[in-house]
Amino acid sequence: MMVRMLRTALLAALAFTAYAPPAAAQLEDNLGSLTGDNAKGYLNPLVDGLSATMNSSVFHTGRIPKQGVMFRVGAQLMGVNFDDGDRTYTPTDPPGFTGTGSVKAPTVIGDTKSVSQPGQGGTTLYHPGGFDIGEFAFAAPQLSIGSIAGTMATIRWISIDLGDSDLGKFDLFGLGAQHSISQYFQDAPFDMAVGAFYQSFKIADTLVDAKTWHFDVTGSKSFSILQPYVGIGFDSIDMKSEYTDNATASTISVDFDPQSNFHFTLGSEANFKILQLYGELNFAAQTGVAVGLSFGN
Amino acid sequence: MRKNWLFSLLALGLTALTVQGGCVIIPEVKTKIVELVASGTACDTLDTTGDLNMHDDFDVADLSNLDIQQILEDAGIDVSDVDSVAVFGITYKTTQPDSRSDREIVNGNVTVTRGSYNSGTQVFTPSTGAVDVITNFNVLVNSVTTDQTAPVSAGGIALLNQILNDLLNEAKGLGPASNTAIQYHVTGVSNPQGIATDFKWRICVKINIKGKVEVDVVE
Repeated sequence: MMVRMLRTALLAALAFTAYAPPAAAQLEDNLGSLTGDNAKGYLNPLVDGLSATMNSSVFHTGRIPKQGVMFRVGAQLMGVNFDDGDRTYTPTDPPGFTGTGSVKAPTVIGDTKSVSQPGQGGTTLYHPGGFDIGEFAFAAPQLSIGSIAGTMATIRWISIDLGDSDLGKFDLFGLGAQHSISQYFQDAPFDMAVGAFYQSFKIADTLVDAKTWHFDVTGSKSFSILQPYVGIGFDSIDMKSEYTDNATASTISVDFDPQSNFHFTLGSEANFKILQLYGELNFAAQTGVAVGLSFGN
Repeated sequence: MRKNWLFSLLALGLTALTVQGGCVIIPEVKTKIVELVASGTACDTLDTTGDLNMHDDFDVADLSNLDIQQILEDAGIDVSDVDSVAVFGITYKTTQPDSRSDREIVNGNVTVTRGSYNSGTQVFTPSTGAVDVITNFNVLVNSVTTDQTAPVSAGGIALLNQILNDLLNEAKGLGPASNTAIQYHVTGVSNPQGIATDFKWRICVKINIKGKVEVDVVE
């Protein structure tokens, strides 16, 4: 029974992780008509979306035993809502084109309709449509193992190649640890731990290459089966994109400005001995929610 | 004890709220029609060696070499889903600088004439009159440059767009496109005067094509 549940959870994690990027193969085609600056504007909402989701639901407790076997495997599912302001950007003129008026073009999450921009001498520049996405979800299988000297390691890893499908190939790797602080205090009123977590996420190897860091202090207290927790921390993301310009067949590399932001988490864990359920609210690069389940102790 | 129950209730409420508020975390696959843009470029390199005082050059390019079908295939757009095709700009760049550091072309102009070209006899037969496509460009040609935006004219752009539309109709199976070649005539004053030019430059016509594709999106 336990093995069956575990297998189901892992399959769910795999399936949900496959849902993370919006149509990767098509994304590359859309980028192919954009210059580097405009690709940056087009993809910019992904930076906040990835930062907010990847850096969520990493740590769910401040209670790390000083010694003993602690093992949890499960799946985390994080989602954010995008703001209306993220749906458009103002493009710059590519070489060869002189616009006669500025336009608002769709970003990757914007309207599916393209926008025509009139230019000097009757030229016309088309800006590709987006995927009309109001929400962004990201999922990850996660394994936590401890505890040595009040320290627990956490790993996220998945690599999926969906071939020629719209969803494409993506890889996620994450590694980090939490260390108990409350173990150093006698009769601490609640449990507390500090944590750090690094992640690398790639779509089609180089189309989207995001690296994130998450640091936080998590406090929690157990009440029967429920354990509310609060996390206060800091996120950073560094993202690059590489694609082929379909007019010149040259490779265009886009470096996004590294971003960092405050991260506040309010959540609760329900612990049913071998099954744990989580739910949390995150106030970070975007406001979002996350849920998860794990099996272990 | 009462305090513990209150905390438990609060925690339970938070869990429920988080899960309930989670339409964002129940992904579903939706098929959407996305308007995609594909682009292509037609370039030609011109050699000015030996021009004295006046840069004056004719050349012919066949826009059917712009393989619209291939551009669409590369972008994953079916030709039947193409809405429109248009020139979005013309660029020029110096590919081999002149040996003189003060060499410049001023008051440069380019006209285009539509017609057919026999590559065997190398004879161009015009089907329209010449129209301006680039007017009054000035360029220093003492170094290799990146693509510069050419000041384009409406008459020439309309002529190029008409050829592109004929090629698109041909790709859609609506009949063969004829007179797809353009003869362009470049003129400009070459300074310093009295000394022959010796540089190469490249002109590129940039086009973009708008079409629709069906995409599976997860949200």
